[in-house]
Amino acid sequence: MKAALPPNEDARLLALYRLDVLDTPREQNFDDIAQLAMSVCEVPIAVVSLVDRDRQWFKSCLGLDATETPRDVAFCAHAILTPQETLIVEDAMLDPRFADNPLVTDAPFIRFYAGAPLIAKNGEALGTLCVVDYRPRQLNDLQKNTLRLLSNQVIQLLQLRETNIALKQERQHIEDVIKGANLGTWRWNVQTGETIFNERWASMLGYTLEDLAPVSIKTWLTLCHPEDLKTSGKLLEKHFSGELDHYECHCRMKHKNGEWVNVYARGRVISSTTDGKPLWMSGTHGDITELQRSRLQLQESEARLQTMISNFPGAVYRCRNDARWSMLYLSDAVQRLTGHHAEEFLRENGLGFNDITHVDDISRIYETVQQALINNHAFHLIYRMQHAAGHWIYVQEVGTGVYDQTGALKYIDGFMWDITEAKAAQDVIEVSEKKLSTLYTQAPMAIALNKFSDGQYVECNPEFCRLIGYSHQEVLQIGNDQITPPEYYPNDYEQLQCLHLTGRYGPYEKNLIHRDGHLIPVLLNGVLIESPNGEQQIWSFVQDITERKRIEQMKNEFVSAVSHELRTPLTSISGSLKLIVSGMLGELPDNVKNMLSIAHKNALRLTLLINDLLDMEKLLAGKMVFDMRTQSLLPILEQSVEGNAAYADTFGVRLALQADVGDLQVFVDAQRLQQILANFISNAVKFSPPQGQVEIKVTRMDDQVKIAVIDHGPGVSDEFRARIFQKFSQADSSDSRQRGGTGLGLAISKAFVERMQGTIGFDSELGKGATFFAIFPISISEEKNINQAGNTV
Amino acid sequence: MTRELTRILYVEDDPDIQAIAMMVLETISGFTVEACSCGSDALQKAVAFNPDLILLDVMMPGMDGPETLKGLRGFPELETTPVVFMTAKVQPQEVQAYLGMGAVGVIAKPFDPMTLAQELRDIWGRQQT
Repeated sequence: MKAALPPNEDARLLALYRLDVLDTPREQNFDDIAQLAMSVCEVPIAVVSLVDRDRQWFKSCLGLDATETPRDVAFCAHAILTPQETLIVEDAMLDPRFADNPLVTDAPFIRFYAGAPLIAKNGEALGTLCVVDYRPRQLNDLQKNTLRLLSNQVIQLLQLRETNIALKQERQHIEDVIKGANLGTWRWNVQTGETIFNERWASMLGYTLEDLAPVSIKTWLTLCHPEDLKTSGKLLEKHFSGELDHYECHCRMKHKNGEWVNVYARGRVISSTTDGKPLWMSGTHGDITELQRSRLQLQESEARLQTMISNFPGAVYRCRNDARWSMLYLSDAVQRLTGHHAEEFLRENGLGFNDITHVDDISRIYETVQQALINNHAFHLIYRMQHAAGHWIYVQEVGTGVYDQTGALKYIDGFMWDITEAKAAQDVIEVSEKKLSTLYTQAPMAIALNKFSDGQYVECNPEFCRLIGYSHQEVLQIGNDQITPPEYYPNDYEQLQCLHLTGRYGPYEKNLIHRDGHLIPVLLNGVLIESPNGEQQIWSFVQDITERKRIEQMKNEFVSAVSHELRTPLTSISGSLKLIVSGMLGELPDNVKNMLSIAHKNALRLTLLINDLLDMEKLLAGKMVFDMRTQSLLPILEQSVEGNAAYADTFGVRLALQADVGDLQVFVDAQRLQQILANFISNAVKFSPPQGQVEIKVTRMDDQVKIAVIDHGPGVSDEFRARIFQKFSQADSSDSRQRGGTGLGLAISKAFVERMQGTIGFDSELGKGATFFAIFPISISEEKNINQAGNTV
Repeated sequence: MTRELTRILYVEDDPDIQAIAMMVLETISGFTVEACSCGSDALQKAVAFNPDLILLDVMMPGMDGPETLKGLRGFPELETTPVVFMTAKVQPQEVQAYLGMGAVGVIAKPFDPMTLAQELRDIWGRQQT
């Protein structure tokens, strides 16, 4: 017979489900109780059965191989109808409720059943602790009672179990929270020092708990910053004394890597000893290093912003876009700018910026700002403003609209600063630039700018264009080489070297090629500059010297023509005088002979003068040809000394050749070199004291040879040094008469030496004589090599 | 067997220079000198004079030295007569040019009257060997 449902079936099932026990694994506790019931009642089967909606489920089942049966056939379904009583069926065969029960009529052939209901807190019967036998029997009172007590134990166990589950869940929840918050936890026995940390506590400091074992309160004491320990100690005392509800402290703890970790500690006493002392205390340690760092960064950045605003050379503002630019914020710097305190602008109906802006600028400012705001652009203004002191200043302002999420304008942010000085400076620069620019464009001298690297023109003035016949645009397409005849390339290079070394070049004469092909003689001067982008450039000042050249040529031609014309009569004069003076045409009276000698000497001097003039003219006209050969130097020197010995003799001066460097090969025109030496020697002789000596000294300097002519005369005066190699120069104009000579000798010598790839120079100490020298490169001639080869054969 | 230099045809347009040279060559040094004042004068007199050596000024009005030389060489009798130029133009390449025309020597102007005769003898001597 099927059992009826208890009147509180719904509440009963709810209570059962709350236990969360159905279909859980077997548990020893329940089996133990079943075992006890089985032993006490001396039956082969004992079961802890819980009656579910449609079945009975066995939490424990001893002596029977089953975990559940349908509720329809369950003895227990009947037992729970009488919660206060133990249902005892002494012989099921005889009980109408169970006689037809398949568990009775069929296996396992139950005959005896005794079930003590398991009663929950509110009286619901959840199931039974029951004992079963295969034969009819009875239970004595002790057995009945025990079964009842044991059923109470089962319910106790079930409730304990439920509590445990809840606790477990609670703990899990707490752990999840702690883990999620990444908190280190600690529990400290204040009395014994025993301390328990979680794994996170250790990892916060770079350790594992194992690394730190054995842990105690000493672990904390060791790792905490000593200064912070003191603070912590004081706070603890306050907490223990009840002054503080909980303990809360910031402290630094040493990380394994040596750095300090900033920790926020919080905790409280959770139990006390019987005599009121704190016993257990628990709490958390949180790593707030990052938090502090970002807070610090925020603070720094804010401080920086403030410093920037206060150091800004102008005022920062926030204002409304209204007719008077109502100020919402204005930095103090506005006082420096306008002479008015920020407060004056910020207070209700205070000063407006329009009140101090130049009346001519107000509408322009308004329009510019409105236009910028419409386009969502920044605006940029320069306008005039009257300072509180009365003077006008130029103000530059940059600002931008600030909009809300819907795109509506909230206010305008910007800054303004004083540019009066800069403006004044700029005005001065503009005027000066205009002046320079006029000078540059109107100058009657051609000016051009080239790149140092490749000679390309970068800029030029109109006069330069006119000079070479190219348009401005065309000039910028060409380089120096295109308008320079190739024969000037080496000279150009020399000037570039000079430019590179000294930063200047010139004066330098050359020709430029006009666009129509004709040559333009020019005189150049220039300086090296660095362009703003760091490129080296050359400013050249180009003077058209066509006219000067033409006149020079005329002069030279004139000199040449005159000299030639003079020479013919001179030839006759000096020739005939020489014949007479030599006595070949018969003896003359002494006084006549003396006069004629004077005439002859001066005729010779005139000849020399004319020869020098002609040489000079040839040199200047480039008509002089040099017969350059690699040859021995020594014979040329010997010949020079020999050739000038007679002349020296007339002054009572001795010539001494000092050439102990052996014979050297030089690449020269022998005749010109002799001319140079004759010049040197005649000068030296003329300026030597009577009975003096002039040394011709040859010294070798690496791959060069220096030929020096040394005298012991008065030396070269300082004022003469600079122009000693110039044409028609003599130390004293009276010298030419006293000492003889044209004043062209050294100028010619210099030109000769330089044409032969040598250098000329002099050293002199006033009162101690002078040394004039020429330096030539030594040739390693093929001839010499062959000679040497020949010598070895 | 070397022959001595005795007969010189001298062409010089400047009469003063001519006079000095004549003084040196004829009076002092004892040469037989036929003086001509221009190129054409020389062409007229040369064959008849039959000179050992011809001394030619370069710069002359009308026919200059080189032209006169060319004209003289037109006479078979004067084909091999040594010619010496007198000139102020004595730069090396100028000297080379005169020698290239067939001159055997160049005497620089203004000449030294004391050494003129000896210079001519030297050139003559070189010619003979």
